[in-house]
This record gives sequence, C-alpha cells and structure tokens, in this order.
Amino acid sequence: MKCRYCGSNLGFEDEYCPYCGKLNDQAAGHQAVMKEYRNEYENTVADVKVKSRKAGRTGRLIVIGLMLAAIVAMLISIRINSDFERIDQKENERIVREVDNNLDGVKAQLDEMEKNRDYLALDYYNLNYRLRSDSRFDDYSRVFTAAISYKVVHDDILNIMSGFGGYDEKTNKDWCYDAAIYISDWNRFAGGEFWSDAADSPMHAGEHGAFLTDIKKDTQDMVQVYFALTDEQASAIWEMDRDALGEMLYANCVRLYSEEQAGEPSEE
Amino acid sequence: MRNRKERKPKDPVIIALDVTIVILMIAMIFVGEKAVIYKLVVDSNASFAQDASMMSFELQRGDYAGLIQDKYMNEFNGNTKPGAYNSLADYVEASFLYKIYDTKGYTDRANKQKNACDEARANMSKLGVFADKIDKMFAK
Repeated sequence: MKCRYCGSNLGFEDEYCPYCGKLNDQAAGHQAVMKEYRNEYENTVADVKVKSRKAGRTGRLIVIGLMLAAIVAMLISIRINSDFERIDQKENERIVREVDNNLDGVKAQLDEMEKNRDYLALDYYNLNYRLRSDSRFDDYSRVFTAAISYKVVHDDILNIMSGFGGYDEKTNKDWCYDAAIYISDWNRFAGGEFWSDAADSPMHAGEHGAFLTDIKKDTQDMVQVYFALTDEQASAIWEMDRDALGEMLYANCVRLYSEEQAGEPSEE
Repeated sequence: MRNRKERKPKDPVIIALDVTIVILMIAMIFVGEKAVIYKLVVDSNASFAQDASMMSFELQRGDYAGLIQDKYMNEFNGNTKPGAYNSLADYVEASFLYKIYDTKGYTDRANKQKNACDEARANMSKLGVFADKIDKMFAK
C-alpha cells in the first residue's frame, strides 16, 4: 500500500506514514480486523484453559472415585474373609449338612476303614468330616484318638527320614520327643484312662476294642522298626515317661539317621 | 532464553487431587495386599483338597506326611487332578508300611504293600525319579 500523501510504501501495521508522518487511513480497517481476530484468539485460549482445567479436575475426580470404590470393595472383602469364626461356622454347617445327607454312607465308610485297619485313612476321614466333634460318632472317640496318635508318630518318623523340619524348622530331636508325647499319653487318652472309661464302654466294645488293640500293636511295631528297638524296649514304650522315651528314641535316631538328610532331587 | 518453555502456574486444585491420587495408590497397595492374603487364606481353607502345585511344593520340601494328607483329602473330596502326586503319596505310604511288615516278618501284609508300591509306581509317570529317592530313603 502507498501513502496517499507522499506515495511512500506502507505496511499494513503502519498506523502513520514513517516518511511524512501523516495518518494511514487504510490501516485502520486492517487493525480493526486484526483486533477482532486477536480478541477471538484470546477468548479461545481462555476458553481452552478453562475447559482443560475442568477436564483435568473431572478426570482426576473420576480416578479418585474409582480408587475409593476399589478400596471400599477390598475393605469389604477383607472384612468378609477375615471373619474366621463365621467362615469356620459356615464350613462346619456345610460339613454337617454333607454328613447329614449321607450319614449311612459316612458310617459305612468309617466302619470299612476301621475294619481294614486303614489308620491314616480313618484319621483323615475324621478330619475331613470333623466327626470327632459330632456327637453321633461318640462311640468312635477312642478310635479317633488312637488314629490321631498313630498318624502323629507316623509323620514324625517320616519327617526324620526325609529331613523335613516342618514350617517351624523342627529338628530330629523335636520329632523324637513329639512322638514320645503321643506314645506315653496313649493309655491315658486312646486307652481312656484319663476319662476312666468303663471296661464295657461302647468305645471299647466289639470292633472298636479290636481296632484299639491292633493299632497299638502296629504303632509299637512301627516305632520298633524305625527306631531299631529290641523287643523288650518296644514293649516297654507304653509305660515309659515321655522324657525317658524321647531320650531313648533320640539316641537311636542319632545313630540311624543323620540330621541333614539328602534333599529331594529337583523336578525337571 | 526465548525458546525455553515458560512454566505455567499449576492449578492448586489439580495439585491437591494429584496428591490425593498418590495417597490412594499407596492405600490401595496396602489394602490390596491384605485383601489378597485373606482371600488366599480363605481359599486354602475352603477344602483340604490340594492341587498339583501345592503337592509339588511339599514334595520339594520333603514333606511326605503332607503329601499323604493331601492324597487322602483329594480322595475324599473327589479331586483326581493331581493323579501322579496322589500315586507318589500312595508309594510313600506303602513303602513305609512295607518296611515295617517286612522287618517284622508279616509276609502277607508285606506283599500287599509291595503290590501297592508297584501299582503306584506304574501310575506316577514322570515322578518316578522321586520313587527312586524314596526307595533309597527306606533302604537306610
């Protein structure tokens, strides 16, 4: 564009001619348009800023809401899953229902295990259905106690042989003394002395009585073989006090089994 | 420098929300960990039955008594999946009894356990290596 007064070249932004100093009328329209655009631009920037801020806040609030919901859900889950008493009660009710629905079957299975002298099976069957705390199986009380004692001694010996320390890192000495406790307590609990069982008690009658005799003899054989006891020593285990018995078992254990048994080969 | 980006003042509300998110993340880790632990405890107590991975863990630790317990609980609860591990548990149990009956001269009972060992070995497939290890253990 040219200055209408002196003819010099002018730019769109030149409000006055830099040569003659006169007003450049033609620039006014351009300036007005530019101002309008500038205002629009500034309004848009301001609008974007506001919207962006709002979106940032909203997004964060949604994230916080979701996190709070997740935390509440997890707290509810903890509340439900940490109520062990209620869970145990529920589990007990389920087991009682299962036994109720198949009482004859459970009794038949139990009798079969008792008859076959499946000591471990009987113990775990009792554990699985919590029969020991079920009054309908009171006649099996001493049978259950004997099976538990047999199983503990059995497991103690297995742990000594495999070198397994349990979850509290027990030593062979611990296992020996643990076995000694159950053997020395046998007559009191499995034998019923503690409860002064009558000789004609249903807990000792018929198959139960025969079972109790056999399991005691089989436990004696188990201890004799795995601790290399003489016949005399084996038959004396029932009358020994737990410390003397533990000492004897451990003395033989040291001789027979090293404390550091070979570990298991890795699974390939 | 002119081309250096100007630091825009941050919205204090957004800063507060960001801090809240970080706090909630820490809380989620803490609460989540507890929730998972309790869930695992409840699931593991839901039934005495065990899966192959748990039995494998017990085997690695030399917990044969635990293996036998799992076998019985699997049997009572209809869990046949860890078949090879159940057979290995049968093998341990029968080997244990065989040694007693054999030493005591109870021939019939010993033979019965010997047959149980053979049957278990035939069903344990890749776990046969552990049966060899068990044989060595009972040979002592």
